[in-house]
Parts: sequence; C-alpha cells; structure tokens
Amino acid sequence: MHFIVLAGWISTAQASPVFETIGSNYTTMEGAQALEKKRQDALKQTLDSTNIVVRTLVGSKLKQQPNMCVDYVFSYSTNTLHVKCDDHPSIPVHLDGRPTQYPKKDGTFLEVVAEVKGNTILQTFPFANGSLKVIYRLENEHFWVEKSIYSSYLGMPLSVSSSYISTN
Amino acid sequence: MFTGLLASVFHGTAQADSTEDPNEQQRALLKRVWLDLLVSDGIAEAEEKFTNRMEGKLEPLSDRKRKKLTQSLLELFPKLEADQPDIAALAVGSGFTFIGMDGVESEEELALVELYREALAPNLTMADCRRITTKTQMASRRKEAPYYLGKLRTHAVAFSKTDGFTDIPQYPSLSSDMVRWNKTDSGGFADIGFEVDGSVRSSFRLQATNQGKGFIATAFIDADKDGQFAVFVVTETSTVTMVTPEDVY
Repeated sequence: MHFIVLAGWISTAQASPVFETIGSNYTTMEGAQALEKKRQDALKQTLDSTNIVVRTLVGSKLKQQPNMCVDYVFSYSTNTLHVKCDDHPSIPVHLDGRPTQYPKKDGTFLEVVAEVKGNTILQTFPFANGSLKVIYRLENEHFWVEKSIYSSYLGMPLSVSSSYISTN
Repeated sequence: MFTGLLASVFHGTAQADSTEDPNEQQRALLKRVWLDLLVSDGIAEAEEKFTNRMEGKLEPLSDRKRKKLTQSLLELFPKLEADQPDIAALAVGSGFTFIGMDGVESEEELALVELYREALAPNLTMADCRRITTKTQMASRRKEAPYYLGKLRTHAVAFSKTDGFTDIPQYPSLSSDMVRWNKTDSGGFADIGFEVDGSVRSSFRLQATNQGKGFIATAFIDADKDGQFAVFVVTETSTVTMVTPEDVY
C-alpha cells in the first residue's frame, strides 16, 4: 500500500478577514498526553473496522498519523496565514485561492488550495489511496482543528480533532 | 476476487513446502496463512485459540514471510471495497476463527471455502459459518452509524459555539442501500463541515433543542436490509447511544 501524493487539488477560495485578528500562540486544551491517547484510540477504532487482511500493514502505515500538533503559532499577512505546528517549519497558507506548496519527501512540492468559508479553512491533500482533510476553525480565543484520513482501505476514516486555546 | 487471490497464494507457496502429502500440505499451509492474517490480533492469543480448536501445533510465519505474504495479498487486491466484502473468507469473532461466507456465490468459491472450513474449523458446519459470518458482518456494518454520529456531534459542537444549534434535515434519505454522500445536497451538514467520503448506509438528522442551546442528533441504519432500522442518538452532552434493541441491524 502506498500513500503517495498525487497532483494538486483545485478549489475556489476567498480571502477571509476573520483570520486577520488571529492570536499568535495556541496550545491544545487537553494536554499533549491526552491528545496522543485520543489519536491512538481513534487509530485503534479505525483499525478495528478495517479488514483484517490489510490491518497490520495499514496499522504500520498510520502508526503516527494523523500528526496532531500540541502547539500552533499563527501569524497573518495579506491574505496569507502562516501556520507553524510544533517544531515543523512555518507554512504559508494562502487564503485567496492561491495554492500553498507543501514539501514532499522526494524534494518536490504538493500544491493545495485552501477552501475558506467564514472562520473555517478546509485543506484536502490527495493521495494515491485516499486523502487527508484538515479543517481549521477559529472561534474567538479558541482554535479547532480536525484531521481526517480517508481511504478505501479503511473500514472507517481516521479522524482526530482538538481544541486549542490562545496563550498570548 | 479474494478467493482467487488466496488460491494464488496458496498454490504458489505450497510448491515450496516439503510435506509429502499434498492434502496435508495444503491444510498446513492454510493454517499458517490464516494464522498469519490474524497476527494483528495478537499472534500468541490467536495461536492458542487456534491450537485448541485444531488440536494441533501451529508455527507462525516469520516476519519476512508475513510481509511477503501481505504484499502478495495487496498486489493481487489492488482495492478492497468496504461495501463488497467478498474478501470476508475470514472473520474473527468472539473467541475463535471461522470462515466467512458473505459474497461467496459461485461453486468454485464455495468449494474453496469448504476447503478452508475443513482445514480451519472442522467443528463448524457450512451453515454455522454462514450464520456467524452474517451476524458478525451485520454488526460490523452497523458500526458505521455510531461512528459518524460521534463525528457529527464533534462538528456540531465545534461549529455552533457562536450561533447556537440549528435544525439540519435528514440526509441522505432513509435507505437500506449504500448512498453516495453528496456534499452539495447535504445541506446543513456541509455548513458544519460534516461529510462522509464515499458512500454510507446511514442517514442522519440534527434537531436543535432548548432554543438552540442544545441538540439531539440521530442516525438510522438498516445494515441487514430487513426494513427495520437501528437507531442511534447523541446530544451535545451525551455519548452515542443505541435506542433500538441489540439484535436490530
């Protein structure tokens, strides 16, 4: 099974003023350990629903997925939301329909267009055998994130969400 | 498709086996193949159960062989459709391994299943296999409803902090068949970011309560297509609960 990234995803998007006032630092409200347990529970539920023939292999592929961030650092500049997750490099997410480039392990880039609706951003990352969908939702001092992995190999999608609170 | 795959694996590996009796060789291989497939449930436990049932000592596959076998399975099965569980030649129930029958139709497939049954679970009749498999698979299919209802609750709570909860009409319409989720037709579900990738057997609705301060969301599913729907509910403060009897699938 290969979760290989395919070509970019095209969508319409509009800049949203909601994110212009976003705070800088956010941390998960449930704590790092609880969030990791939540992720592992979700993975177990997904694997339990997955056909036993591929369960072991799927389990190894998704062992660390989805990557749930404990801390986020955001900044905003002209239709672009800069998102930094834990120790990962900051990624500029364009909110005006321009594609955001995500580096791949092979040195190339995956281009993803963020779909913006009010205070919600949806990103869909296509893979050969499924997709990763990430939803960000800003709500006053809170930020909510859901990451879901869909694949025909999975009995149920792997979906984990967490609320983050501003620490500014 | 699945039976063809197993037949390929079966014959391909059997040639390398040193056992002289072809029938015994096939049975031994079948045991090893199935046991290997059970590894994710705990090889020791599976082996113990299997050994008790078969009254024989089993030798699990090495990691290398298991990986090779799994890879062979995947190459021969480019896509496993959740809705077409003809791959269910094996299922794991409460306490022992048995042979699945769902999707097994042709004489060739039946003959192969019979071979599995004889090798793996001689104490079970073919009728037992069919009955157990059906029940297990219906329960498995039914799990879709509470799973997505829990996800719906998460989205409703996350997306309604400012405006409160509003009614979301039922979607998709009640059906005993799989229905493809169409985001543009899903109405208020799309507004709260709730969607299903692909098709579902379940139908959902959300009703606001207490002037929009709360809600009750409901999922309906008819996994066994008998016209009787299993019903699950959840509220903003409760977990998913099944309100129909346990034997309604």
